[in-house]
Amino acid sequence: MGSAFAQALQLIVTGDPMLLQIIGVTLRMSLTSSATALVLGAPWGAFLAFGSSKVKSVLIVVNRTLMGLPPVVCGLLCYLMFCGVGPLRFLHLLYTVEGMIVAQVILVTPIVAGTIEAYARPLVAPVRETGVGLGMSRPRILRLMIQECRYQVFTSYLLALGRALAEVGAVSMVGGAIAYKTNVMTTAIMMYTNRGDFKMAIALGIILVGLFFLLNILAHVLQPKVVA
Amino acid sequence: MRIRNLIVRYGATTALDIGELTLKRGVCYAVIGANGCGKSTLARCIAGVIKPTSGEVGLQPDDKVRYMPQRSYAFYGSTLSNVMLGVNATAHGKERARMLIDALNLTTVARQGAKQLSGGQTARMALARTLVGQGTWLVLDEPTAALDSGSMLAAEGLIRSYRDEFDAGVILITHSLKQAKRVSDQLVFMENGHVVEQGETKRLIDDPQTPALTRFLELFGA
Ligand SMILES: Nc1ncnc2c1ncn2[C@@H]1O[C@H](COP(=O)(O)OP(=O)(O)OP(=O)(O)O)[C@@H](O)[C@H]1O
Ligand SMILES: [Mg+2]
Repeated sequence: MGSAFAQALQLIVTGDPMLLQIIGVTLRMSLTSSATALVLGAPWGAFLAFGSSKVKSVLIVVNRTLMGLPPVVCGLLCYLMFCGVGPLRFLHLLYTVEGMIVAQVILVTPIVAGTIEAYARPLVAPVRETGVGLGMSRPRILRLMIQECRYQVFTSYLLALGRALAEVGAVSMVGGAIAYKTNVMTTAIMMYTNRGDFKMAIALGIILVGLFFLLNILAHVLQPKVVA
Repeated sequence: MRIRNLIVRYGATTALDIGELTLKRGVCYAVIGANGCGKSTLARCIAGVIKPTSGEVGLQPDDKVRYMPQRSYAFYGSTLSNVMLGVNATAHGKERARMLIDALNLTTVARQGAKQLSGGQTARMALARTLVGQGTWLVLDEPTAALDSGSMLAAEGLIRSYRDEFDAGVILITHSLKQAKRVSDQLVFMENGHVVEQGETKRLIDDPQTPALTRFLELFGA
């Protein structure tokens, strides 16, 4: 076991090509899916945060449900859509990185929207009241509102990225963990462990945890110096 | 400003029901009444923050309302940048902001993050932010509730100057009868969403016309 750990460190230090290839695919996938989720989820979250109506309450509950959607269920759904008899088979997304990105966007967009909605909702009334009281225009008030939420938008992006990096159910079902093509860090850890090739699995595990550590350092450093 | 048949309902409760209320510019009105009688709701209607269920607040086309909510909100950024949100960044605007920051004793915290201010400092920042811009109506919802006595007197002086400088109508919501006496020309007494009595401050306090106001004043020991 100790030697597997040492070999894992050696893989990392020497920059093993297979290791780098897997990390590359993982980053391409998770950065794209989380960025897309941010672009779609932030306006959606803002829409959910403003005002209240029956329809909106329903949408918020639906969104909260989707936030907890098990990745394998999302993977199953996408599989059924993309597979040989699925309605979206003409897109040829099964066993491709693009297909994995689509599945992850479905998985993490509600997380971005939901966290932004929860943070922004209680700010809407006081920010609006203060802005109107100072004679501000609606676009100016909206701009202030976005400014008040910008750190939250950033952390919700990191949350989405973290989930996209760590999630294994959706990517393994849609991507199929094909070596040199759709194998990402999480699916590779499973694959190498099943094979008994622990050094690669451990190396990937170390890097994955290291990435999370980096993300959290970033979040901490950029945190506004305020006890809000 | 003419308020007519102004009604605000929240579900089954009627927060505000004012048949007729006429307010003039250049006059300071103190609005008094028990918790939940509808003072803030009236202020929000005048400021245009909420739409009344029915009725209207009749303003002139050139009227500009400046309104300070009961709960002050600090935006990200310094105290100074928060105050500057209330005015255009012209030389005159900056000068006014500096004057108000000094007068409200915020000079030492001007460059500090506004979200770190104490409760009273936040209220002073919000008052400065409201007073820094020009308006024809000034609506202040308990602006000095969190202030120490020194800051309170400074604030009252600034409110009176605002009225004189811009010939503004001032609507000052307060729970302090002493403050009403010091600052206001007219008293507006509210109960259960209604304006029960209105008149010259000193006369009304000495000689209330309704049993409701008599009872209210007795509670103050006035
Ligand atoms: N957004 C709201 N939703 C439901 N009810 C509300 C809302 N805002 C105010 N009310 C109700 O309307 C009534 C009047 O409230 P308002 O805030 O105007 O009182 P107030 O006179 O300002 O009281 P205070 O002296 O405590 O500030 C209260 O009964 C309150 O519960
Ligand atoms: Mg109130």
